[in-house]
Amino acid sequence: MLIRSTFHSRIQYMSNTTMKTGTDLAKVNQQISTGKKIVNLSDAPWATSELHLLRRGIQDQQHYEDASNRSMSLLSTTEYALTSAIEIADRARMLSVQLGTDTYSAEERASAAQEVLFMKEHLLDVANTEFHGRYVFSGAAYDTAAYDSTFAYTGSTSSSEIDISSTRSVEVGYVGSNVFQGSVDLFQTIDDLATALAADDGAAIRDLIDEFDDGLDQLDVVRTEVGTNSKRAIDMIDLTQSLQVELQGRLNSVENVDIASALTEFSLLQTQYEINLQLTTKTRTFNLFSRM
Amino acid sequence: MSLLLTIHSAHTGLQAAAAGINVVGHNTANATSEGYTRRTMVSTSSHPLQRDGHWLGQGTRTRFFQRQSDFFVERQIVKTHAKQSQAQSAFESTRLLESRLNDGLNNSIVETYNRFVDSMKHLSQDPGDTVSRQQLVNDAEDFTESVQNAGVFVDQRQDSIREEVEFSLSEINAKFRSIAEHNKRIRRDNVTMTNSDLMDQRDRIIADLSQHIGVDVHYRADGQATVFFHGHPVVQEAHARTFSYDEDSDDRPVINLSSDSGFIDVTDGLQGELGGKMEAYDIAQDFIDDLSTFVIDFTVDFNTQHASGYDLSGVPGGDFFSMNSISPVTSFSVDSAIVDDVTLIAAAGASTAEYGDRDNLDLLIDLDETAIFNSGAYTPRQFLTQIYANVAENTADAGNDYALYSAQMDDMFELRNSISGVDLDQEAMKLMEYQASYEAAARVLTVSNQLLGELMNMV
Repeated sequence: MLIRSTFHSRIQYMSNTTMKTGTDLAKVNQQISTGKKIVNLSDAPWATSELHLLRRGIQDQQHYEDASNRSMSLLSTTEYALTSAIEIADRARMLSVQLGTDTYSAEERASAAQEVLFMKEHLLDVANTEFHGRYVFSGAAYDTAAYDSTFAYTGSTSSSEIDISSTRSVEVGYVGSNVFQGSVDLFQTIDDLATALAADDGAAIRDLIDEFDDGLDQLDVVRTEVGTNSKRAIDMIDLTQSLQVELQGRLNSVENVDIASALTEFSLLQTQYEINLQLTTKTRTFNLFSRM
Repeated sequence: MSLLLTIHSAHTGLQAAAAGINVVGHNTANATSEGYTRRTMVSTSSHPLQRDGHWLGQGTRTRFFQRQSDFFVERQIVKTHAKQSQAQSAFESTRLLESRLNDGLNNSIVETYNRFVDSMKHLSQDPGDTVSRQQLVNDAEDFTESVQNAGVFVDQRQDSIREEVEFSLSEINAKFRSIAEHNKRIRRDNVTMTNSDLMDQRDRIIADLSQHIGVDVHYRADGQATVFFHGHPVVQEAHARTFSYDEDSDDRPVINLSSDSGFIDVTDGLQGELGGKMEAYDIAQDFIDDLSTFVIDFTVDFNTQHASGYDLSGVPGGDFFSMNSISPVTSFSVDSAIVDDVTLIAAAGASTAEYGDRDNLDLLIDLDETAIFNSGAYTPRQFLTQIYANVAENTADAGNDYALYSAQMDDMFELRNSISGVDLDQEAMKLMEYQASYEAAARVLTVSNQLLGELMNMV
């Protein structure tokens, strides 16, 4: 409480109050126009770490979603190729079962031998399946075809993986020599079948049935693994999307302004500002000189 | 009773009323002048004459014009003004730095660093892909450029602060001399209106000075002011000392105060606007020191890991980043060999360098999660966040200080106005009072003159 309130101090007080209201008004205005309650980090220095963490978290999840999608594309191609390989191996097995019986003549077996050799070529094409220039059965050396024309494996003995989260990765580049030439060398088995058919050797043909069974199991195991990895990638896409929504929500709650309350505050400050201007104008005329 | 004495008394009344009206005029004219101290006229009755055993009044006389001020309040205003100016200057300067950091925007250091790490992760999906390698180099260049830009900005800002401090010293020395000159002209017991105006002018200069550098002032009984800076008297009576500019081995501005034995370094005592600029200079220096630490440690660790890997041709990796130790921040860049040939990125862990070999790239990515700063306390990203948070905290602190001292200044100005300010209503009342007094004295003079005329006609 001042003992003596001068005309100048009254004007000064009104001026300071108006300026302060004007500054507050500008601040709320800035918040509404930008949609952010933290326009500069100094508005809430304590939130710096959280803001950076949340923004980085969103970027990470976007990255892992992209990686999961890419993995899905590669794994779908791999699965499709493996299905084709299984069909070829299954057809070869069927031929060995059918033509292994003594009801077929040597000519029929010789004719089937040609088909089997075509199947071997087809399996080679399947083993050299690529997706956007990436050979899916070349392991880490996926820039080159898995097999050359002599059916020799030219890929890597290391597999290729893609990280779909900070702790999980999925194999997307399979080692062809393990897939097609693991415990059972499918190329060799098909070759053996063709040889047995050409030689009209029924016993040898029948002996290959078990080989094909094992070969099919070998392919099936890989296809199951691919399916599992695909499922992981799909799950990760769902997870990363929901995490992005969650993180974005948290980022919004830290960074963004509540428009409804900001507009209410703006309205109150606007009224206050207008009152201050009116008061200043009125106060200006309140002095004895104006009445002398 | 002598009619002539009455005429004399009426005349002194007229003079006193006229002087009072003059004071009112001076006060109202300066009602909005910054730093003006209102005047009041103090008058007393003249010594009476003793005649024939009676005391006869001789009218009034003006004793002095009083300057309505409180030394304690004036000193507090000078001190607080220095703190307010310091906080304002520091806030504006650090806010500038904070804005330049572009937090949340694509070209901020943190965002470009994040994109660089993202690019490495993206490359890990297809380590041999030259398009992804080129993207990694582009993002690495964006990152180094954002660091460089921040460094160049801080260099320019510090250059500008050095210039501002150096150039302002001549103005400050001139103010020292001006205060000393005013002291000289203000004499003890000189109660004229002119002398009060001199005090106002001098106090205005002291207020300006305090706003610039922060000073303390002691008022003496004879009206002279002694001005202190950082405990040293810089103006005493009619004597003024001088500031001179120098720079230390790190190019930090140094303010020296002249003394009998040479110079005294008083840089740390700076407050006011220059103190704020020095505060901003130091905050900028801390920022650049932290960023230099980041660049040096990150470059060394990243290049060491990069050298452990193999490029697409199976050759051991060279440097990925380059910088010089004199100016790490502004020289931070992607090695030109990598920029020219992206196949030199050593992503592979073995010399066979298979297209999909990402073993070394994984280790490079792992650096992002490795606490390599502050003795294992912070990862690179956390360290960058800490640098940002430091600038934000300093800016917020300066802003809070400014708000605090501004509120204190408002209170003190209000108090000063209460004591020294001109109130127009009060002045109007006094004007009416002096007007009535003048009219009454004039009437007495007229009546006395008429009586004297009557007497003269009788002769």
